[in-house]
Amino acid sequence: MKLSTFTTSLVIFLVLIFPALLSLIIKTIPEKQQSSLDGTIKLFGERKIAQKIAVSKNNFSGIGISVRNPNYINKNDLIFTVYSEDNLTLRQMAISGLHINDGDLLKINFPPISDSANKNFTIEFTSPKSSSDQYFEIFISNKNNEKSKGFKLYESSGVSDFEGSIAYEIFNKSENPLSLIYPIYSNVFIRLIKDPFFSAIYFTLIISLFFVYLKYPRSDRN
Amino acid sequence: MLKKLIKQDLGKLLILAVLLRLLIMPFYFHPDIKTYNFQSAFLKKGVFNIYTYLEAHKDKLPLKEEFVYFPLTYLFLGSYQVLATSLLGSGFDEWVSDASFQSRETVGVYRYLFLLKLPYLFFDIAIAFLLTFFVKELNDKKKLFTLWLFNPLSIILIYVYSNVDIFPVALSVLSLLLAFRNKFVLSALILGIAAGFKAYPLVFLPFLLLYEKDIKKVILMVLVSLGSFFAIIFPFSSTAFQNAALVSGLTTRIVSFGISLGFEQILIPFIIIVSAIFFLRLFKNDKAIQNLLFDYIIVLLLVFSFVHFHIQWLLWIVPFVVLLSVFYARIFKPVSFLVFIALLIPLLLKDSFMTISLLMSYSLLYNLLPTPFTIIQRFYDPYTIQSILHSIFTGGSLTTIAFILKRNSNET
Repeated sequence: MKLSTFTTSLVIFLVLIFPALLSLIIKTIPEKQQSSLDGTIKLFGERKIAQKIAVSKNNFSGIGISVRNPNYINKNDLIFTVYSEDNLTLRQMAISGLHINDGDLLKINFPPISDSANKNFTIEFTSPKSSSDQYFEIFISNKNNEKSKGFKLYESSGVSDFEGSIAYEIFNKSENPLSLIYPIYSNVFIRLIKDPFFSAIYFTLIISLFFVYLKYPRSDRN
Repeated sequence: MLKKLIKQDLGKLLILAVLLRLLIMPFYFHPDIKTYNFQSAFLKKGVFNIYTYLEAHKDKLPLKEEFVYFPLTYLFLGSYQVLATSLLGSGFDEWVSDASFQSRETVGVYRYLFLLKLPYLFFDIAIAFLLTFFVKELNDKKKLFTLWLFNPLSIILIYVYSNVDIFPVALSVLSLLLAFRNKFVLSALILGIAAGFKAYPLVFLPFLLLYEKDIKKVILMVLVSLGSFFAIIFPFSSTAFQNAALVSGLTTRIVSFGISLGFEQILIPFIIIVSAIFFLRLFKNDKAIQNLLFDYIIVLLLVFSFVHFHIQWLLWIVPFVVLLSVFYARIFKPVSFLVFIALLIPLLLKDSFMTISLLMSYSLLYNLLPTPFTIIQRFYDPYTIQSILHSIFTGGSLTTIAFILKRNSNET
């Protein structure tokens, strides 16, 4: 294959086809963006941090939070539990501190809860093996979501209510692998249309060059 | 001849090459382009010394990174923003200073990415033309022109990774061309100016000096090269400039790895080998100018062999590898393969902006995908794979260097 043909195909692939192919492997879609990171709560020993959340879609399958764990200093497990409204344990996951990178969005995936649409759940984080020297810090947000009315901190001395919220993000499993292609490309198209000055110049340039290329006389040598 | 060449042979290829570049420019987003354009935007607000300004205002700025490039990069990008103000539009300043994730998916992001990458296109095409001046034969000119414009590596490194190194790369090629035309003083001057964008072209200077026989001219070359470099950086001299650019971790990374001699001294493999090759060249009488091309390639192969390099740095070597296709065809493919191996190393880094997050101008959802690092982590230690690839690259580079030197030795 000629180099120019290969590179032309590669560029067209990268711009038009590659995003579609990659979208096929996005398994979970965020339902709610993570709110601002305004502070942290230390988590160790008997401390538990819990919050009610409202899920609007089916296949609730993950929670994203941000955790402080500088230099992976705490290698103990962070235990995450999802409870139903009537306090039944639905899912429980343990994440080793070895996989908790300081400040990154930690996405905790669990088997989807198929009938989660328009239901409330309680999410809870604990780390019983962590100590007051080696602990996790869960990021919280000062902003409160109407549906999640603050969070609770359980300690040996009692329960404290906070007005803010854990800085969390909800993920739902995508039902159809093809379902994201249309929204992604239409989103690109809409944003191009919303910038008519640029789009007009850009596409005129591309189309004109394409026609010049087609009409350009081939060399006799070729 | 060039006009004839364009009219008869290369015009169609040039149009296709420009078309491909225009097609990819707005759609791939690397955060570096936003960071250095945010910093360069201060020029239009009257800030001259960006290094001291950023240090003094760090607490209030949304993007807190230092300006790691050298002053000409700031002045060039800042001036370009002044010229392009009306095209960039009123929302640009807000966008470029918005550190949030969402800013990567806003309306206008395609316009900004396109316009901010437009200067790269000029230097990219300029390199294609410069390469044709290295040779006389029409077929060789066509080969170099096509190889530069259609090798996927340079397109990806420049437009996907938003590579501002294209400016010193183009000037390094111009400097080499001037050396090929025996204009050594001018060549040294251009190297000094190139270093005003990013310091790395200065590593070529000792080798360039070897090819000038007149000692007075050698002194003049040192003076114009280092003189122009220091004239560029002098107005910016400050502790902030020293820390951010001049002796930053990035600039000094090249001398950071070594074998300890005790008493805080280290032997630096990169310097040892470069020095050995320099003295080898010095003692030999073979001053055929194409050896300078090989020297540049040797130095860069050694840089990548002994340093944890950034993906953008690979662009430094690409035009010289393209020249190999004519000047030493036998090693063109092996060296291209080595560069390909080198490309794989940063792709396996933990940084999502090496791979999946580059698509965030399409949708923020791509950020949810696992990086190659995370995928490999499920089966094996990705750092070990990076180390294996780097070791293969280093082994291959050292053999290539030995091969080049042996060839030179056989010729003399």
